[in-house]
Amino acid sequence: MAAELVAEVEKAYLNGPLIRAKFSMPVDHGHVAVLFGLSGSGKTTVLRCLAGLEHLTRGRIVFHGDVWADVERGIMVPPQQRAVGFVFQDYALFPHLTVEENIAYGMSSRSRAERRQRVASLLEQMQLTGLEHRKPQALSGGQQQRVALARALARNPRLLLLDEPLSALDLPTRLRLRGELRALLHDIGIPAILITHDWSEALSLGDSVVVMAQGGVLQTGSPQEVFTRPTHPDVASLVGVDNLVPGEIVRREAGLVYVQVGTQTIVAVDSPDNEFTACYISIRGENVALDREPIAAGSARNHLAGRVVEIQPSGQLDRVVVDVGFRLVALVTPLAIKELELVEGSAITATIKAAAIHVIPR
Amino acid sequence: MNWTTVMTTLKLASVTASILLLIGIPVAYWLTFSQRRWKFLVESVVALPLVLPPTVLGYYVLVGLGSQSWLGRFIEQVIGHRLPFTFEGLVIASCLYSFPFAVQPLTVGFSAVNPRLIEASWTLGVSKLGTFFRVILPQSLPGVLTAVVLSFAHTVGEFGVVLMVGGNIEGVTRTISIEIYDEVQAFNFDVAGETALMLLIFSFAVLSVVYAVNRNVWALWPEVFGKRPRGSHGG
Repeated sequence: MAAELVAEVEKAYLNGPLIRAKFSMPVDHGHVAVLFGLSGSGKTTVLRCLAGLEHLTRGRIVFHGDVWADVERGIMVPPQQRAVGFVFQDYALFPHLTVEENIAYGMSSRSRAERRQRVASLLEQMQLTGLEHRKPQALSGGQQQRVALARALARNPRLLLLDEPLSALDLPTRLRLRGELRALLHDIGIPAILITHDWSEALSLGDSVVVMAQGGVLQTGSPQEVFTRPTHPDVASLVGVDNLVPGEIVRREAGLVYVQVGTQTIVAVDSPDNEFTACYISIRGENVALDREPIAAGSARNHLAGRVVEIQPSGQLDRVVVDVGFRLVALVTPLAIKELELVEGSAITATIKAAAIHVIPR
Repeated sequence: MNWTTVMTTLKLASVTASILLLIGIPVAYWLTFSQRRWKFLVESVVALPLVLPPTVLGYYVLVGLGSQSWLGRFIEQVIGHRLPFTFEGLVIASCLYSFPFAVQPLTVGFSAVNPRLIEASWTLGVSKLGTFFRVILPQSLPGVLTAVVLSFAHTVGEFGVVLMVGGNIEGVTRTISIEIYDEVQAFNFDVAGETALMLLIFSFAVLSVVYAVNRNVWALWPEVFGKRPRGSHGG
């Protein structure tokens, strides 16, 4: 009995798209798999199939040795018996019930005392204490999201399914709750599958990423692998990150963060979700400027000395791979390469503005 | 105005509305959520009384429940008397006649419930029946109220079916609308006018309630349904 979820999902809609997804993930610890893709790529359908809300057209779903669905063998375990926690994109809180009643909704089989205790501990864990008698309409978006999570967690699900859990929120709230969600998913230790179309969210929340497009899976792997080494041109165009490097935040000061990457310290603009030190920095190749001489002064915060490792023609711009203590890809015009007389081994200085560096928690 | 007639009418309408609520809910649930291809046939049967002349419906009920038919004879053996020209017979005919007025508002109410709420309930381990009572029904209260009010009011106003099936027996089957007809036949225009005006006011009041409820259920009974707080969005 393998401690993994095996999903071979095929769903055909009448006069509609055919959705096919095949992936697996470990389920013996709190692994978070991210289903990543643009809207219309079939992510939600896959999640609904896992929850038992859609019948498969073909395929099977096996969770930790339990067959949840198998079309050939005619097995379809109803959603009530799968013990999944589902967080809907619009949260789907029951509008006629209070926060407390929403959270306790799925626990009717437990004793009253047990129920009360569980609700109280969830209210506390989700920072909802004091709101237990409110109706969902009287809550902010962030509070609604936490009630939806608490309700899904109340029954100790075996698998947590989250459909774009942050997309209904405004940007500052989204960034703040992303940090909270990451900490929560890490703490509860329940395997989770999360849908997002935001690559920095995928990077930040996922232990593994399943990239979907046009109803199929294009690539699976660790977030860094998928985003820096896309094996499929569609994945590359979806994410298009030239540089994604792990680092540690060593200092925060005056709206800037100082990130240790190998031997270099990179200066970037601080993110609103700022309670983390382990991070990735992402830099688009277009935002890296190259010079032959060291720069004396300038508005850009980062000047990194290094050597050219490789020059690859790549469409209108050439990819220049530079070793500055880590591998850095710059996209520059062929004309610039000619004028700078760049060849493999040339000593150069790479310049990056602090604002062009994206710091993503990991 | 004849109070015996009024009481007969109110009794008939209450009994009919109660029975229709009990039968209408499962039928409306099936009509709303079933994926069967032949569902439209059932929908047509349910809606039939809307277009059928009441006399036609009354005729079939009369013949169907009468002692000429096997059904009528069977019922007669079981309950000991025949159904036409009795209050029970009238209730059966009224239920058939007002059926769409109960089923359609319920169907509208059920289909207005956000399907995500139903699915959320399922994923929380609650059965389909439990989900109906804990999510669908509380979410479609305006539809339920409309169904009760409309089937009640429609029964109060029926004429053709009552005349065909119930006849005109004072204290048993004579209803308000039949009384108006009788008074006009007897040239008692004052009495007829008084009763007619009462029915007019009653119908207007009923429809006002229905439309008010369906526009904004909170405005009518804020205490019952809970006030919807405005813009209290914190962090």
